[in-house]
Amino acid sequence: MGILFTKMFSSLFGNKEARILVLGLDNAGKTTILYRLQMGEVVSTIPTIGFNVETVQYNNIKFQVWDLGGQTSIRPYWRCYFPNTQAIIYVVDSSDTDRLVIAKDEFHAILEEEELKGAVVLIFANKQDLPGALDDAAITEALELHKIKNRQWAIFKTSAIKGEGLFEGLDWLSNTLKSGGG
Amino acid sequence: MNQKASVSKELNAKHRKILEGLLKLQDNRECADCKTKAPRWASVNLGIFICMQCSGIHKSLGVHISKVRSANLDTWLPEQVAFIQSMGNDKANRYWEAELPPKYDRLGIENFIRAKYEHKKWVPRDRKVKSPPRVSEEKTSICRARPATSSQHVHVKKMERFSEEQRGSCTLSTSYRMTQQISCDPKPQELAQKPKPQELDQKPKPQELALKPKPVVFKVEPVSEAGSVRPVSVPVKADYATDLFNLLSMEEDIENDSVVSASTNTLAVETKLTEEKSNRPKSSESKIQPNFGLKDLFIDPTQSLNPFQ
Repeated sequence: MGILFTKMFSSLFGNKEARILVLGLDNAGKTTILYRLQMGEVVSTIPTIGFNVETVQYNNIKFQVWDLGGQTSIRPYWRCYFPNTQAIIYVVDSSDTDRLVIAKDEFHAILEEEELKGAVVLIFANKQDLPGALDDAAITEALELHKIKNRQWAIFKTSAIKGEGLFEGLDWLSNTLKSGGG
Repeated sequence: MNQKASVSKELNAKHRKILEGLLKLQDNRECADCKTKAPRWASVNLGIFICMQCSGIHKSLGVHISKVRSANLDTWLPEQVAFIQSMGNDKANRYWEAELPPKYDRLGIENFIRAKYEHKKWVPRDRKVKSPPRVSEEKTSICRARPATSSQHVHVKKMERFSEEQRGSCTLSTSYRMTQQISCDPKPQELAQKPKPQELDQKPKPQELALKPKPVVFKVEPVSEAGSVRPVSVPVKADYATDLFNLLSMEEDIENDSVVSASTNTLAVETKLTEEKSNRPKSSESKIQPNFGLKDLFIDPTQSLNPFQ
């Protein structure tokens, strides 16, 4: 009963916390997105070997955002961070068309993970500011997002450099999580 | 485009060996842009080796200008390896820096890199129009190659950073992690000798961590498994933590091995760096990953780990 009350209280007055993983191939823009969300600035980054974690308070939700390194040989370690994750932000470099197939494969491998069964998925079609960047429809097709079953998902066109699309995505995420998704 | 190439474990090992060889060449011993020693990253379409700091800048240029890969953390395609073999820093710079004034001040390295590759400021002017030395129509689909990567252990030196105690302190600065990849397979019997779980607890625990929730991220519990014989070629789903732990243990072995003095030096430097970092107060400036000592961290790990091969 006490737990139920606490739960109701926090759902009414915010204080919800969510654990978010930011995943994607190397050079997708994960770290830039994390710090754009957290500090509102574009920071210069170097490849993430390991992870970065920051707390982002938004729409009464405290997002604990984990940004994991994307290099080929450290991707297998993503799974170590899967337990208790409410949402995945999957970042794609929309201009790196050569590697969209790999991005798709990694994406669907993640979705198959048992530990992430309940996680909602937000896809950022990032680097829209670059020439040759595919739009959200093209990325949806390339990642075969229509194959997603039994899961809430959304895709947003983003430019971490310009700060576009990120908070729209976070809006969707907070609404989805508040309504019980994840 | 978009074809899925597969790079086998053997091929990947071969690539790694070639890359290590290329990195030892005089031409490639310094970052192609800032001249920092011992670069470990590369631009696969420009065919150059660069340092980690410059790799961050290259990444920000976009893949239409530069495609960044790690020499030891990423899987390379055969054509990428072949191209960097045929190019290299010296040859590339003869093109990209042909008109560069001597003793040019490279302090604003980001501006320098943008001017060099994006604006092509110093490419040869007197010659006929010549296409820049880069792979323009390459088919760069680095394969996921999960089976291949299963044997490429990421050598996480500071394992305890992933552990529960310190997880909360991981801002960008402290999350700066030292991973090095080794191409050799750990020998089970050696691992069995030194599972040192207690090592993980010896580090001072940052008590005043900002993040309260401590979700399970990295289980280091299966200590008994750490030393057990494990078929390296078969990826076991939940075995990555153990993998890391094994590697950590293996490193202890190396550290105690007087034969590998170079490796010990490198590790000593790293330990010092880590201590310095953990003592340093958190500041907003610390958001940016520091670059000091990077070259030390990436000093040819495969070479220093030769006794295990």
